[in-house]
Amino acid sequence: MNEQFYLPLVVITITTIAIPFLFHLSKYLGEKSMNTNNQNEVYESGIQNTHKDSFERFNVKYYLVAIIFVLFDVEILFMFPWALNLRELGLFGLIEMFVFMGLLGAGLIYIYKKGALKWT
Amino acid sequence: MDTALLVETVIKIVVILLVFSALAGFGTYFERKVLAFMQRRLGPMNVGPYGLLQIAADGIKLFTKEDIIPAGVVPLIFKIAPVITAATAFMAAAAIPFLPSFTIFGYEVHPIVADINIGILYVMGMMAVGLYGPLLGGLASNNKYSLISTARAVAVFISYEVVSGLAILAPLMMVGSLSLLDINDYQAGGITHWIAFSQPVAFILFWIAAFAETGRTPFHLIANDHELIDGFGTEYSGMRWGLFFIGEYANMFFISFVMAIMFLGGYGDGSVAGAFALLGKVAFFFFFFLWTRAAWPDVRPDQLMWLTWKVLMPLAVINVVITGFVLMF
Repeated sequence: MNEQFYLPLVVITITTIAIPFLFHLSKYLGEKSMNTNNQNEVYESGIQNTHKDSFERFNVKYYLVAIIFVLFDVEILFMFPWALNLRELGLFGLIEMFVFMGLLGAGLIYIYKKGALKWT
Repeated sequence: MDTALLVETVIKIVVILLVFSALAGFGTYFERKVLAFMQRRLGPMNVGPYGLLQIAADGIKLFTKEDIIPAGVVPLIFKIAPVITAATAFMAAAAIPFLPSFTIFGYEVHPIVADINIGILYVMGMMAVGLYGPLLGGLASNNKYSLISTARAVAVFISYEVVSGLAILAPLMMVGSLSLLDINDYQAGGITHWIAFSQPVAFILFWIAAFAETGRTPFHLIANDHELIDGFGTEYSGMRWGLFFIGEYANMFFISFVMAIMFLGGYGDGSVAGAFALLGKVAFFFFFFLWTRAAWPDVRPDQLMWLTWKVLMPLAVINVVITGFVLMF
């Protein structure tokens, strides 16, 4: 029973990763790479490259959004098993999950108050 | 038995890969035509009848173009990133039933690669992994436009991941199964049984999140042409860029299938009319993507974050709470 589920998944993983790599071979049909210095420069809309590289820092807000996402997405994953078994768990499960969601909501309000979602 | 399953699976995967790669090509033609007609232009007309051979011309150019790897990029990550986008898009297709089961030459075909019992979770998960394509590609490109685009892509993707996760929670509470086949069968009774009517809020929220997850126009900050050139794809050329492209358009088709099956009844009872109805619904959703692109401007990144965290996410939580009470009493 299990192989019926997981064998196709293994096969599709291997095929879909292999075929894009095979697609790359089509570049040999076209012209050969000239590989000149000008061609290999970083694209800057026509002007000369003014800074050495782009591996640098950017706005901390993006990191904050990522941290908040981890928090909330894990909590949503906890809710999926509950949602599927809602009828068996009954009223007790419902109230328990609403307490959990209340904590989640309180966390969201705390994040608002702290200004972590404020983009100025 | 085992070999038969393997052969059947490989045939299905090859058909899906070919059909949706071709559909990605037709998607670009269709997009250009729809945008042109909405702006009172003609669109592609020169190559072939009604410009239909434009797809072939574009394809030949894309496949045979010179492969440029600029100086200063991180070569390994630069090369892997487009493959991640294309591969995860097609891996997500494994759990989607594209048509109802049909019989051909006395052999029953189920047009779904793997009927896993966590279907919708697998599809959403694979689409979320697709984020690593733009993320790694943009970071490895050594280009300031790519860097900004990557930061925006990550923020948009993960914010709307929360919204779409909460939005599908309410329908799943009603159905009680994660498999897309079960969700489809739940709505088999006809148009009044569609989840879109019993869960309108979840439907709208998931629809909005679908625009963000495929990076389509109201949320097209990832590659906003007038400020970011082509975003994370700026340094890519030829087939590497083409893989990003195929991944993006395949994602649009697959998320259209998911929306049609989850909220608009899918193929219903599995008749031939139901199969055509499913394709019609998918075509409508795809057309709606293009329609929105013609009709709406882009929003700012801060407006996008405001919309997700302060409007859509509380709405989704309230929707789940109300659904829970209604189901219980």
